[in-house]
Amino acid sequence: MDTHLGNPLAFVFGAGMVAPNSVPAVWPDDHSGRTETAEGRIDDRTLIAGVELGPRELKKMDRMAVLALSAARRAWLNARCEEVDRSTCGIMSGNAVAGWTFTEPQLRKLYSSGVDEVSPYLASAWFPAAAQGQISIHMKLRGYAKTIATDRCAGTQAVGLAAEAISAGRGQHFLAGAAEAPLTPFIEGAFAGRTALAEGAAYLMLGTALPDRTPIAGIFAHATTVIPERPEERLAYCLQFLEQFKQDLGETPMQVDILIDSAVPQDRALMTAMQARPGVRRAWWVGDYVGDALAASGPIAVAALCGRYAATPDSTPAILISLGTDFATAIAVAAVLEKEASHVSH
Amino acid sequence: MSLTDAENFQEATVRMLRSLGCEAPTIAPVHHLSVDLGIDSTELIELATIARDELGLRIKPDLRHMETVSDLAAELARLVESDRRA
Repeated sequence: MDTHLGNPLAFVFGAGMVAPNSVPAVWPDDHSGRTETAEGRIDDRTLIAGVELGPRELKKMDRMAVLALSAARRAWLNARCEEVDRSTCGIMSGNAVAGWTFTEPQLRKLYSSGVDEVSPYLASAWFPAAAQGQISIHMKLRGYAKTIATDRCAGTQAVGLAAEAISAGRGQHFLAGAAEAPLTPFIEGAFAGRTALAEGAAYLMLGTALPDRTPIAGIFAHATTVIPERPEERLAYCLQFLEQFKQDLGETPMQVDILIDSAVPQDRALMTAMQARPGVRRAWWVGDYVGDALAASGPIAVAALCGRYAATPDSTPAILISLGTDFATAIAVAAVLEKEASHVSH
Repeated sequence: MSLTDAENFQEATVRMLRSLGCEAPTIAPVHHLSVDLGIDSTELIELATIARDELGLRIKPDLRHMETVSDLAAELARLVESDRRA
């Protein structure tokens, strides 16, 4: 399944996202997940309609898991996955701050009324892997599944690791992405002074092939590393990703877009520096479009990028670099053109 | 416990199971809480909170060993009686 861009780790067959209105490009159909929102928050009615669950199940879940399930279902619909074997389909999910929309009210009850008033569902609702678990339970996906919790990098790393798992033969299909619900007093207080937080989720349906389906994009490379705080060293890492991934994307000279996913204001200088490099068409600051959705920012950016590939003639490859406090993760994404797509499902 | 009390506890038990979110078309005394009504061990803990509030019990009961709706109604009746005597 080579393309003229090189040999992808995995193909993207569909994507689903639930994100604030500021996201610039989405899937051009009814499953887009673009919702009426205000200040980084997603409309409750639209969100709940997307998960297909009643109050008995919803009361057991943090908003982070509801967002995850909604985006995962949209990705499944977009990819038209009827033939995918649910017993082997994997999940790779990222999350940075876990389930505080559920936890905070319970902590208040614990303080004011005692342990007997704390919800028994707290234990299974708060932890980062709850999103993965709820997707698995309600979508009946029983393949290899992991949750990544590497701060902001977690979502982008989840996509990269799922692509690598497919490439290594550990699974044929994966739902990969991240969910984040940080709009609570405690989390907003902890992140005070930074860019305003936003909630959101995005998942990609990754695989080697689907019968009679044309992939939209390929994930061509993934790298995660520990990254220092000093700006010049961060730039050196980003340039290293750029050079490595341009090689991974193939010998043909082409332009690439750079997507910088960071909440560190000084990293904006990376955009200027990278845009000046040969072969870079444009560098984008993901937060300007997505807001600060923490680990979900990277997958939302990739889902939006796939939307661009599906809806417009612009097939410029992109390198997404998520820069956290301690880690950096980069993935290379490129559109699969009609010419190459004809090779895919055979 | 008189027959009337038993009927009342049966009705109260069904009401509490509805509060829990149980959407089965009918809830009968012979129904198994897990197999027929899909109630899991964590939901039994929530049910204990509902029962405490509904019946005015002084402590939250342990209902984790309950198997059927009938068991549950009988246990709630026993707990109310025990609470009265204490």
